[in-house]
Amino acid sequence: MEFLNLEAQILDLLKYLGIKNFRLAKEINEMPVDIAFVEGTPTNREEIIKLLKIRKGSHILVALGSCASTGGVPALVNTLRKREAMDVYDGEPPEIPIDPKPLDYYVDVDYRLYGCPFSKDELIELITDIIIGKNYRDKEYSVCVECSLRENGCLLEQGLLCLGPITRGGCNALCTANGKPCLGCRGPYEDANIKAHIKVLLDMGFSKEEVMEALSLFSYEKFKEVIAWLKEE
Amino acid sequence: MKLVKMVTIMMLKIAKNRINEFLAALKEEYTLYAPTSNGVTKFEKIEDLTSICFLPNRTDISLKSIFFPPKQKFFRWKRGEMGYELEDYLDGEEKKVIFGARGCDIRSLKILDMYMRGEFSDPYYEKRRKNTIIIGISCDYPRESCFCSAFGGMVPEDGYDLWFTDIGTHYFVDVGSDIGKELISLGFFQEASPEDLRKKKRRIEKVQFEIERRTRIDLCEVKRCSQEIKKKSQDEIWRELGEICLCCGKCNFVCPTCHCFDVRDIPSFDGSEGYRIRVWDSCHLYEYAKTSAENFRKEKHARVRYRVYDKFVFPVMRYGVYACTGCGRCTEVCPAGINLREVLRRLVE
Ligand code: SF4
Ligand code: SF4
Repeated sequence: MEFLNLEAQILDLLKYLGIKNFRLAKEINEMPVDIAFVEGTPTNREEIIKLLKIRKGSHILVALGSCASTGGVPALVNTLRKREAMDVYDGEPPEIPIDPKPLDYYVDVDYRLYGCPFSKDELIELITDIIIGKNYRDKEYSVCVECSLRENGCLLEQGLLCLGPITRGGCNALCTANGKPCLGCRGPYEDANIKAHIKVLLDMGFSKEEVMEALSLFSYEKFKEVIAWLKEE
Repeated sequence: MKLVKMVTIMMLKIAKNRINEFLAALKEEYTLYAPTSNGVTKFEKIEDLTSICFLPNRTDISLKSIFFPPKQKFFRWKRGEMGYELEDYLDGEEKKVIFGARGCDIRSLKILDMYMRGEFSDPYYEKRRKNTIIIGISCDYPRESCFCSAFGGMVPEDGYDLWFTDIGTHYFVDVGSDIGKELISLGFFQEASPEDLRKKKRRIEKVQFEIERRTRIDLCEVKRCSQEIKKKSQDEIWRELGEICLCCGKCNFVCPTCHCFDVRDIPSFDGSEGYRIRVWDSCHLYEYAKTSAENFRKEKHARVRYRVYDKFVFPVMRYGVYACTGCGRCTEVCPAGINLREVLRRLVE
């Protein structure tokens, strides 16, 4: 839906791209396409098959948003035993669910736009790069970078549980600039020193449980090894 | 000429309750920058004099961004009939007064000047930097992380136009330049007595003592210390620090002498127009030393070491000075609790 929020740019964009398939905004949808943007992540077999079809019918596949790129909040269910998870449904659940995983668990993903919601600026950057023929790269640095560029005060210094130092930048520090600690919706970046940050949080006085909960919220799939390590510690 | 000479011999002070008048007079001709507080303390353009914050010591955020903003547009390009047209964003000239700079701020500007208007001249920096009047002020007491005494103390040798020291109802005023001499002729200043001078000295000594008590580190022999640090390139300490450093880059961004930047293009969808900008960069980030062939500092410990070397070894080799002021900002912001003062102590001891 963020696409439709591009208001200012969407007309300009349509000069270069046509929209062939958009379930939420169009009635007639076609395949194949040059670029497929996939939001969300499969939670049952049909959806996996649909995803495979999309992959086959598109040149470029973009994982759009947290769930598609890191497993996101749905993956939180992977922290629980399936039976407990089923308790949220009264009576019979609709289908036997599978563990939510990032899209790249099932198919090749060309690009990822992280975040919940993903960043409009990054979307524009990606589309521009594709049209121009430049190589779009994931941000290899933390939210702290963008937060510092805005010359904000540090929320860790204020004693808040902020995941900024291990979370991939690209959001322009939207939350932290507004005094809200980073929840890590964009997931960790490859270079993140996760264990060192966990140590910082524990030293600040947060309990293991609090830290594990924070890490699990958006990116359980990405953090599960380190969470297992933390449990053992 | 004669008059000017007399004035320099004369000792001066300004009454605290006349500061606002003085600043208001300056504001008529100059853009005024002074410390403000909005959660964090930093230097901002002052419209309303009541927003100025009289702090006991340095600001959280340094002066750097006035002259070298975190994001800065270089130019805009547009494809025209005759090829590409460029529109440069070299900012218009602004005559500024900076009020309330600390010794470390003033030293940091000297270091930035060395990098950005010396051997290599950066027109975007130069344009903002020239025509700047600096009114410095002694600290009332240091912050926990301060260690400027390792670099010559709280009062810089030069680099200011006027220097104020709190002596109770007045500020004692030292004049540091010809512009400073012009400023004191504005009529807000009065003669100071020998007693005022004694008060000023006592005041500075007291704060100085406080700083030294914390610092307990002597880096004054630049060559020797720098050699000492250089010898430690394989020391245990780098591994230790590399393990805890989050490589968040905060120490770089907050440092008043860190000056690295990345140049980026922001094109329109078809590239026919767009902007070229620069954005602060940090040597702690993974991609900083990455080239098409190799990443020279893939490991975190190499990055931590590089930053220390780029303050205490390389600039000494090249310019004969350190590129650190002892402001302690990097120590204060580091989430991993890496304390530069302690690191140096371990290295030079
Ligand atoms: S502020 Fe501390 S943790 Fe962050 S990069 Fe600098 S030394 Fe490392
Ligand atoms: S290295 Fe640290 S103490 Fe030195 S000038 Fe930079 S921020 Fe200040």
